This record gives sequence, C-alpha cells and structure tokens, in this order.
Amino acid sequence: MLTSVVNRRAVAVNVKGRSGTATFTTVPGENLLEAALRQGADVPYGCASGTCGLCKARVTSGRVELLWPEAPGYGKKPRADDALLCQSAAEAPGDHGTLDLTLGGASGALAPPGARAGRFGARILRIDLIGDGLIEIELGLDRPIRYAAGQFGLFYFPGIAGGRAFSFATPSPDTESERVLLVVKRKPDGPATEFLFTRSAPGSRLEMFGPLGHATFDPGCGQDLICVVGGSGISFGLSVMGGATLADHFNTHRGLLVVGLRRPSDLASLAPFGAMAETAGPGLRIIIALSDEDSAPPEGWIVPGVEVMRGFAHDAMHTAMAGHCADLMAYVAGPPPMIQAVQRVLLLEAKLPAGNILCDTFY
Amino acid sequence: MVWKLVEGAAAVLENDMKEFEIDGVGILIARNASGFYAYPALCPHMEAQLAFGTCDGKLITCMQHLWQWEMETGEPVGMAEEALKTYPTKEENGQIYIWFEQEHKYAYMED
Ligand SMILES: Cc1cc2nc3c(=O)[nH]c(=O)nc-3n(C[C@H](O)[C@H](O)[C@H](O)COP(=O)(O)OP(=O)(O)OC[C@H]3O[C@@H](n4cnc5c(N)ncnc54)[C@H](O)[C@@H]3O)c2cc1C
Ligand code: FES
Ligand code: FES
Repeated sequence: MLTSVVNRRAVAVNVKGRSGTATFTTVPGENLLEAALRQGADVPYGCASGTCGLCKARVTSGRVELLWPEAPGYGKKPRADDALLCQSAAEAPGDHGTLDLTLGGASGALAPPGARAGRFGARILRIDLIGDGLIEIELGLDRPIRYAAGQFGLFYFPGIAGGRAFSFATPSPDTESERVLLVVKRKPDGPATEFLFTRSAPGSRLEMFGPLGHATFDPGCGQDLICVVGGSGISFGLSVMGGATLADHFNTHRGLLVVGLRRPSDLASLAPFGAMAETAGPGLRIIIALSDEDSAPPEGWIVPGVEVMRGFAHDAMHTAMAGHCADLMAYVAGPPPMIQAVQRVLLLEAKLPAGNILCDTFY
Repeated sequence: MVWKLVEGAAAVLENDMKEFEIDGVGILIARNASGFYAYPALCPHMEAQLAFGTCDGKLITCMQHLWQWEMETGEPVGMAEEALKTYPTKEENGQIYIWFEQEHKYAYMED
C-alpha cells in the first residue's frame, strides 16, 4: 500500500461523539478516518487531509501514531492527546482492549452512516494540458465506484507522505463507473502535483480512498442552485452543475455557475461549459469571471451559452443574483480567500442561511 | 469593580465587530443599532477567530464552518451546536465596558 502507516495489527476503536459512539476496527496500513468510513461509521471530517481540523479527537485510552504531527488541523495550541482522525493510525488498544477517542470541540455529532468509502487502485489513462499549470487526468480504477456530484478522492502517490484531495470532475454516473476525471492545478513546490505534472504518464499507478465529501448535489433538493468556483475548483463546478444538468434539474429550476479565473490562458477551452449550457438549456446561466483586468478573452473563447466578464467571481455572482436569493443552495469550491469572499456576499448581501451554503475548501 | 474598559471599542461600526484584549484575554465586541455586545474572541466550535467572520446586526457567523448565533443573545442558529458565551456590556461617557470576572471558556479550551 502507498502509505506511511506502520500499525501492524487490527485494533478495535470507539470514537465517542455527542450523539453516539462510532465503533469500528482498523487494519494495518489505514488511518482512523479511512477505517471509520470504510465501515460506514460516519465520523465528522472535511478535507481528509489534515487541514480543516473537523476530525480532531482526544485519545482517552490506548495509543495512536501521529502520521503528520505538524498538520495545520491541530491549531495553534495542540494538546498532547489530540489526534486528527485523518492523520493518525491506531497503535495499541488501552486497558479495556479498545482504542478510545472523544471528538474534540463541541462537534460530536455522528451523522447517520453514509455511503461506504474504500481504497481503490488507480491507473492513469490520459493526461492533457488544458491551461497554464492545469491538467486534466483520466483515471481507470480497479473496480467501479459510485459517488455523488461534488465528491472527491484522497490520492496516494509513490514516495510521498499523506494523501492529497482531488475532486472528481465528472457528474456522478447513474451507474457505477471505473473511470474518473480530475482537473489538477500545479502547486509551486508541491510534491504530489509535481509528480502528476512531470513524473507520471499513462500507465502510472496511484491509490485512492473515496468517495469523500459532504458538499454534494441532491437531485431531490427542489431548489435553485448557485455554484461558484475558482481555479482548479473547475472540477467541482463541472461535477455539481453537470450532475444537476444530467438530472434535468434546470428544466424546472434556475442555476448560476460562476467560474473565477485570472486570465484566459488559465483555461484553453470553454467547450465543456458550452456543452453543459447546451444540454441544460436557458435555466442555467454560466459566467466566466476574469479577475486580471488586462486580459481580453481570445476568439476561441466565444462559446454559445457562456458569458465572459471582467471582475472577481464573488462580484459576478452578486450582480447575476440581482436580488434573487429566496430558496437556493449555494456550492462553493476553490482557494480559501475566494471561498470567504463568496461566503461574505451570500451571508451579508443575499442573507442566505449558512445551512444553504456548501463549501469545499481547496487547502 | 469588575467593569473593565475596552479601549477603542466605541469606534466599532454598526453591524460590525472587532477583536480586543482585556488582561491578555481575547474579547470580541460587536455592535448593532441597539448597542454593543461582547463574547470570547474564539469560536465555541474550534479555535477560530470570530473576528474573521461576519456580523450583519442580527447574526454572527464564523467563517470556518459557518456556525451562526443570534448576536444579542448568543443563541445558536442553524448548524451551530453550542451557544456563544457573552459578557455584559455598558456604555458610559462614550466608552464601552464589559463585566469581566474571569475568562469564559468553551469545553475544548479546558485542559
Ligand atoms: C476537498 C478538496 C478538494 C480538492 N480538489 C482539488 C481539485 O479538484 N484540483 C486541484 O488541483 N486541487 C484540489 N485540491 C487541492 C489539492 O489537494 C492540493 O493542491 C494538493 O494537496 C497539493 O499537493 P502537493 O503535494 O502538490 O502540495 P503540498 O503543498 O506539498 O501539499 C499540501 C497538502 O498535502 C498534504 N500533506 C502535506 N504534507 C503531509 C504529510 N507529511 N502527511 C500527510 N499529508 C501531508 C496536506 O493535505 C496538505 O494540505 C483539493 C483540496 C481539498 C481539501
Ligand atoms: S478532516 Fe481531518 S483535518 Fe480535515
Ligand atoms: S470553528 Fe467556528 S464554526 Fe467551526
């Protein structure tokens, strides 16, 4: 397995939350979050990659191995018994024969068991450069997967510690599928994206744990949709709004997709959005917002059904909403500053209840 | 006497909030049309500064995971699982004071 986890035996684990206790067993080679989700125990998590802190718990009995002690999710003043479920592995049970943890903060809610996630082998089938520092990757999995639009996978790379989260860039298939598509932005000095950009090729093998994520499109929601994405958040936008399009959601509801880019060279072609616009019909409005003032959209960017304007994604969203903000669900994905700017407009200007805003922060 | 002056708090704008420090303890001061309100600077959920959130005169929202509270009472709204603790405030001679006996802490802050 492509992992740094060294625990050698199965350990029974109890994770105590406010609304109940999740009980599961870990096997060698997996972290506590993967073990829980693999067995359908729905413990709280967000990024699954050590940053958001939502999976933080305290060890009350037994020992854990901290896989990434410096993870930002521990916060400024970590306690000695703190463990992020996504960055810890069971080392040894306590006196009662189990490893016991209590969820940190007040967030002890154990949601009803969700869909089971698991480990998949993945092989790169195709890599295409689709913009400056942006690639699209098609992966073949070793068995079919089913996921909801908006979900992501945690990918493990040879010789690189820890998993990396990448959103599936395709709407959820109606049936299970062995193919998934990713849109990956190169991160300066990032080993995983460096591997994908320079050291991988069709045939390269990875491992994936998934599906993960709560920011998903619900075909039964009966609400208008807004989706605002920035940079590599394109993946999430294609998945959520593509999923809604496939579900004929925009025949009966309105939709707004705003894609924030800096300049046209960020993305060579708007064809995928053109295709979405054509299928969705007039119920869906698609706007590409270019924040770099000096750039003019190239000829090839003129695609029916896709508007291109200058400015920030949150401003374009605000203008396009034009007071229409009654009963809608908002989906937001991308880098943290962009997410916060969009959240501010939705909360302060549109007065949207926080529960109607679903975010995937691309830390 | 445990009314403590919060230097500069009177300058907080309506429907806005700002973090201050009293005896080394972070205090959030928020203001709406009816007055000033004071809370611990950190979110009851996890270690996040509420000052980076939003205040619209009615609700305070933490930007980290979007928990929300009624500004005037600290009562949780929507997804929030815990109330905001509050410190009593008073306005006197154009200055803002809070009743500060000891720091209010949430469960995750106790050792
Ligand atoms: C939910 C979610 C969805 C995302 N979707 C996309 C997407 O669709 N497209 C895209 O381009 N980007 C996406 N991202 C961002 C992407 O995950 C990062 O850009 C990627 O992790 C960068 O990896 P890197 O190794 O190149 O860079 P680095 O900066 O080295 O990696 C940073 C990340 O690696 C992990 N990490 C670092 N060191 C360790 C360690 N020692 N142990 C364990 N973990 C470690 C942490 O998760 C950290 O956040 C998403 C992020 C999240 C959270
Ligand atoms: S889920 Fe573990 S830190 Fe985000
Ligand atoms: S830290 Fe404030 S809502 Fe989670």
